[in-house]
Amino acid sequence: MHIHYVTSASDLSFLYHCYIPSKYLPRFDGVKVTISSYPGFVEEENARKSDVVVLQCQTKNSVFQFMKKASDKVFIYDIDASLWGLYSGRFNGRFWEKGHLRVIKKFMDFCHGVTVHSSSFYGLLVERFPELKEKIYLLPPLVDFEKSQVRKRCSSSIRIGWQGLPFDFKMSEHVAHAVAQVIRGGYDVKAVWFGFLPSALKGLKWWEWEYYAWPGVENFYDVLGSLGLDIGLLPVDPEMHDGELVFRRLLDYAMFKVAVVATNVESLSGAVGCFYGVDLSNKLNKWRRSIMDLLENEGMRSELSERLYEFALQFDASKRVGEWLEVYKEISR
Amino acid sequence: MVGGLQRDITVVFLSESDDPYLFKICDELYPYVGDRVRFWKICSPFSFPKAGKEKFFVLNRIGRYGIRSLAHDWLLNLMSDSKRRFVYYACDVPVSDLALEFMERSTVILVNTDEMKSYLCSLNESFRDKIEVVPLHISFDFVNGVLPLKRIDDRFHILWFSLSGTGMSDVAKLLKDLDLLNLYVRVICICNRVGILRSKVEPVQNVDVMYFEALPYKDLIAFCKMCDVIIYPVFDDLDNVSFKVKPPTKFLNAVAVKKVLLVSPLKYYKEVADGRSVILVNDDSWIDVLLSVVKSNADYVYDEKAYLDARSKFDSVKLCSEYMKVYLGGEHAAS
Repeated sequence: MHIHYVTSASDLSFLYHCYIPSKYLPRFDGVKVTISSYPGFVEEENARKSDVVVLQCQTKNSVFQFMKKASDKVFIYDIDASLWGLYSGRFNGRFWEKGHLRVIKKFMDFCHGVTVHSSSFYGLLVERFPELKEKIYLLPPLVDFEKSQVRKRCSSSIRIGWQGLPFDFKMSEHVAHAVAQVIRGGYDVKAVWFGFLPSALKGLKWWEWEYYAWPGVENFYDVLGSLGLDIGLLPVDPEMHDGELVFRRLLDYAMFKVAVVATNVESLSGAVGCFYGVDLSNKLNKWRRSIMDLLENEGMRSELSERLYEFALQFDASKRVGEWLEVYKEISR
Repeated sequence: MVGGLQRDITVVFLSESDDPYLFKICDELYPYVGDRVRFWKICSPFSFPKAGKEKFFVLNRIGRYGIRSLAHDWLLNLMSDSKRRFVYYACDVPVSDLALEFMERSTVILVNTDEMKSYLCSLNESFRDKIEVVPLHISFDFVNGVLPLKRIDDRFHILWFSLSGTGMSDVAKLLKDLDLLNLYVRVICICNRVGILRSKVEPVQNVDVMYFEALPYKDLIAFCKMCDVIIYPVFDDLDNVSFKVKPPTKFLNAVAVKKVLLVSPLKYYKEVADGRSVILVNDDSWIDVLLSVVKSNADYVYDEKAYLDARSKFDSVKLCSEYMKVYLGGEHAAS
């Protein structure tokens, strides 16, 4: 089976939904995986030669025309909540426009199957489009443990970090204030921000913070592992978040045995007890207090990081990727 | 927009990002251009059409990523108007097909080295007549106005920077070697996507390495001033065309802040090496040279003569008129 992913992204969605499966799926006999992205898209030879084409969040007309012509192929529409600006069960955001939805619906109608990555989004899609229920499939997250190499210096200072993308900037700024307050309180702490630089950090002394820009999909885990984080922050706005991405970021921290402080949102309910929760109000003093609790309690840090690591092991890509292949095969039948 | 007064001539700088090279060809020159000229920076392709009525344009490496948008098409279309002047600034490889398309339509191509000129001519011989070579400059006034950063401790500070990230694997190798020694030093690394460098280097245990994403130019100068020595090791890639055509930015920064530069024998650095301020270091002697620098840095005191020499050749005040001749053409520049 030749599976070809067509993607327009080079961000975390691409990493989770194309890059990782494309690494593990070829380990099955007879499976070949290729990827094409902007600007080549469907002009690539691999797209024409493949048996199954997975369209990751595609809305381009050229892709749709290709799909119409290639009647010998099986098409799967892979969709994540952020495509629609669909947060926590409510449809909102500037992407939620009738025209845009119509295009996505057209793709979903035309494809042989639709794959999603979180149960909450699965439920929403089924509820909204009951006629498509038979062809919507839920895929488990895949964690690339082969990349989970922790590279940490021996150092007395505690490294507290946040990782994410610039669209999370509000919450990132928010917790950066909490970390800055902790540092100003005299704790031996280094603030490490990966993916976005909040202005709150710039007010600290130059040696008290570090910032790393998005390094590209292929380097993402290498960089995350080299940051040597002790505490990872996962603040979530309960009104505005993509459940799957939040859960994935928790798993990313888990890979490197980082103790996590996170907002207690529903999408993380499966991992309760594996991270230090902050209530949905996200108040600054609560974040500051939670960070200080973990700072002062090394035993709790190592306990939580171990528990989270154990939790994430159930999503080991080498063990779960077969479920993806089964879904692809079932859609192809 | 640089400058708020009504002036006679406007030069529009179009760029895909507000990078240090744009700072060099625009902000750093601006104090010396005189009262009649106004500089206008536009750093996002989708804002390019705002300058549709202007006559003088400088394109900072537009199209080098090879990604085409409607704004690029709009600009290419505007470039067919022969009454306007388009200067394409090309200081580095790689050159994408889209960048070459912009160069073909530009009035003049501005480069900083003869090697870059030869390289571009090898890609398209028709460029030869419209390439102007003007050396890279640095504003000594600007540098003198920047305060050094405060040090954390009395460690010896070594600085490596490469805004484009070239030489990243080389410095990673050097840092690994340096980590085997127990030296009381701190190495500060500054480049784009510095996390990749961190992932190649960490964990280090015996040397304190600090990483910074490409900083605003002023902050970079502040780091240069704080450090004891600036290094630029290149081991495996000496024949890389990029190293042959690029202007000697490390030299300019080092000389302006009066710091010693240790550098691999790259072409341009060979020309300026004097054995005191700019020291060429061969592949196998980096560690020895660093050891001797760290242990007895008195031997590596900056040579004032080199500073004065560089100031007479590369100061923005001196080179500004040459840049303006290219930006405006002979007639306007003279007036």
